[in-house]
This record gives sequence, structure tokens and C-alpha cells, in this order.
Amino acid sequence: MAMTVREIFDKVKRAVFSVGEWLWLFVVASFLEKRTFAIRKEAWDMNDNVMLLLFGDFLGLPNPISYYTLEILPYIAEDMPAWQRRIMNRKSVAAEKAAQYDFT
Amino acid sequence: MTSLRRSFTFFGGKGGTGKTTCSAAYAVKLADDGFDTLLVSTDPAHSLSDIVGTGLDNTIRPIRERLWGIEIDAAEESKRYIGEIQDKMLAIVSPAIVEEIKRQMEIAYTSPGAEEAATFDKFVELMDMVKGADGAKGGRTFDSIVFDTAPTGHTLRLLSLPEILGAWIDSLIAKRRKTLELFGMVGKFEEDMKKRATDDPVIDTLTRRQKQFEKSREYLTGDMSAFFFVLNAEKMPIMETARAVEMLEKFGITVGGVVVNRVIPPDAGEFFAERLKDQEGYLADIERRFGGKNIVRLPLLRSDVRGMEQVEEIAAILGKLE
Ligand SMILES: Nc1ncnc2c1ncn2[C@@H]1O[C@H](COP(=O)(O)OP(=O)(O)O)[C@@H](O)[C@H]1O
Ligand SMILES: [Mg+2]
Repeated sequence: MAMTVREIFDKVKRAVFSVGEWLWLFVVASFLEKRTFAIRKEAWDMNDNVMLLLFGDFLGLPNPISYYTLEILPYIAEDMPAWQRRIMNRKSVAAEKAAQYDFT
Repeated sequence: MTSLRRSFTFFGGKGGTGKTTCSAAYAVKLADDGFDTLLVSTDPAHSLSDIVGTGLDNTIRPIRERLWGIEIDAAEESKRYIGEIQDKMLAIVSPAIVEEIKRQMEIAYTSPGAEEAATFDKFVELMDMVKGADGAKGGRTFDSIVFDTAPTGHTLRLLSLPEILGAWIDSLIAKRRKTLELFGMVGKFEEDMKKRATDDPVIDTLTRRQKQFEKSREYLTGDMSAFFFVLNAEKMPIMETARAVEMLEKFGITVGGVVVNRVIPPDAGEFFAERLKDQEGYLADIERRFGGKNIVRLPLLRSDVRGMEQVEEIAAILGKLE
């Protein structure tokens, strides 16, 4: 059965609209993705810094409250090895950067 | 029975000036007056046992009627604390991780602040036992606690601990909150972290510490407490005491007065004539510097303080410390 002009028009309009929607969604999604990535990075950095304030003495940084932060250890112990790896990486990155400059 | 204005009385000063003698004597006086009194030594070099003639240790023991004593053992306290943490850890964390972290716990356990922190915890636990303190929930209570403290530097660090570490804890809590908030914003992947934002054992634990510090600050800085310095009438001790008084007052701790110990009596004889003259000058200096506070003089005795009889004698004189 042949479509009326009206029906064809509607169908084309729907198709165009939905392409536009997808495009729009795509733009929004990738924006959100970037934003999420930035926040996630900030969150992890901050997390690692708090860990440093709590357990810096494990890395040799003197910490006046290390005795009291020990009682937090059971809740955080599972994250501890990964944190130490991240911090070590950060340290070696810093060391590499420092090595680029020859101050002598 | 007169009413007690003060729950906590501290005796401090340099080593060997007479802190232990004075705190024992003052505690005996309070007990004789009908107050249930606890005598506490926070000095790692304990010497209460000798003077009260009862073997004391890290447990509250009776000394005589209405008088009990304890010598805080920091090593024992921290051992217990670490043990509790290890038990909790074994319940929550996998054995492999526990093994990995064990060595690091040793580090914190032997860190410079550990002994002080352990002493402080016991110290607050004991203060909670005074009548009217909010920690005295149903357990045993005392009317009054007298502290025989360690030499000045150690004691100043102990008493300033809640003030200094409190600031550190505050900022830790704020940063941890912020971190969890950020994790909460990025959804699914950190679902676990997000859950912690509402019910976070780290924040809970830090908050409990914060409350303990606040409470101890209330005990120490209100009119529940007064600190008395014991010193000899000599030049250096006077200057050191003046500095220490200033520091305590900066922390908001009331300095009730000074006990001038080993004052040479005027009839001490020809041999002491020179010293008596010097002493006069120093006593005048003490009056000038600490005149607004209680000043009590204890005479130099013929011998070391031996036995309760001499302690009672000193107790009678120290009764003037309001
Ligand atoms: N007024 C005094 N006359 C004589 N000896 C004293 C006097 N006061 C204290 N002593 C003795 O001095 C020594 C040190 O006193 P102590 O109270 O243990 O000092 P601290 O606790 O400050 O180290 C003790 O042997 C004590 O008996
Ligand atoms: Mg002593």
C-alpha cells in the first residue's frame, strides 16, 4: 500500500530528529565523560593525599599523630598496597622531572 | 567535710624538686578530709610506690582509706591498643594484607609520639572516672584525682597534645569528607567509596578522637583543674618555672600556685648563713613573680621523706593550696 505524502514526510522528520538527538546525546556524553574523568582524578589525588596525612610515617615522613591513625588502618588496609604503589610512582615521576633540570 | 572546688590537681616541675612528695602528701590530705582520691603518676620514672609504701602498677590499687593509686605504664597501654587493632584487622582484612602491613604497624608503634599518646589515652580514661565527668558512666568514681607528673618538658607536651593534634584531626576530617563527596559525584565506578560517604568508619574514628580531645580540653582548661609547680628557691628553677607557667596559661590551663620546697629554716645554723641570705633574695623574687597565686613553703627536712608520718606533716602544710 502506497504511503501518503503526509506519512512520508512524518517518517523523514522522525529520522532526522532522532539523528539530531543522538548527535546531541553524543556531545553531552563526551562532555560529561571528560568532566567525570577530571573529578575522578581529583578525587583519587585527594584520597592519596589524605592517606599521606594519615600514614605518611609508613613512607618515612614524620607524622605527629601516627599512633592515633593506626586505629583507622583496619578500614583502609585493603587500599594500602595500591596507594603505596601510586605514591611511589608519583615520587619517581617527580624524581624524573627533577632530573631533567641540571642545577650544577 | 568541706566541698571540693577542683577535681584534678597536678604537681609539676623539674626532676627531683619534690613533685612526687607533694602529690602524695596532697592526696593523703584529701583522703583524710573524706574525699575518695586517686593518685596517678604520669612520670615514666615512677616513684610513688616508694613514698606511699604500696606496690603500684598500671592497675588502680588501694593505698589506704579513701586513697588509691596507679602508675601509668605507656608500654602496656600501647601494647593493648595495638592488640585491639590487630584483632579488628584480622576480622576485616585478608591475611595477606595483614602480613604486608605488620611491619609498618611496628613503625608507628615505636614512633616518638607513641609513648605520649598512650599515656594520654590512659590519662583521659582516668579523668573520666571523677564524679561529674561525663565518662563516669556507672563504673567506679572518685571525688578527686591528683597527678604526679613527669619533668616539665614532657608534661607540657602531654598537656598540649589535644590542642596540637586536634587541629590536625580537624583538617583530616574535612579533607576526607571532601574526597568522599567527589567520589560521590562520579557515580558507578566508585560506588563503594560513595557508600562510605554516608557511613564512613574513617570519619567515625577520627570524630571519636576529636571528641576525646575536646573533652580533655574541657577537663584541663575549666575550673576542674589546677596545676602547681614545685620548685626550689634557686635562680634557674625560678626562671624555668616562670616560662612554664606562661606556656600552660597560654594553653588555658590554670596555674594554681607554686610550692617552694626545701626552704632552709632560719635556725639552720652557721653553716647555712650564706645560703640563707641568697634564699631571701630568691624568695622575694618568687613573691614578685608569682604573687597573684598561692605560694606555699615547705621546709628542708633533716632527711629524705621516709614513711607516712613525714608525708602527713607535709600534707598539713599543703592543705593551704586552695
Ligand atoms: N622538703 C624536703 N626535705 C628533704 N628532702 C626532701 C624534701 N622534699 C623532697 N625531698 C626528697 O627529695 C627526693 C626527691 O623528691 P621527689 O618528691 O621524689 O621529687 P620529684 O618527684 O620531683 O622527682 C626524695 O628523696 C625526697 O624524699
Ligand atoms: Mg617523681
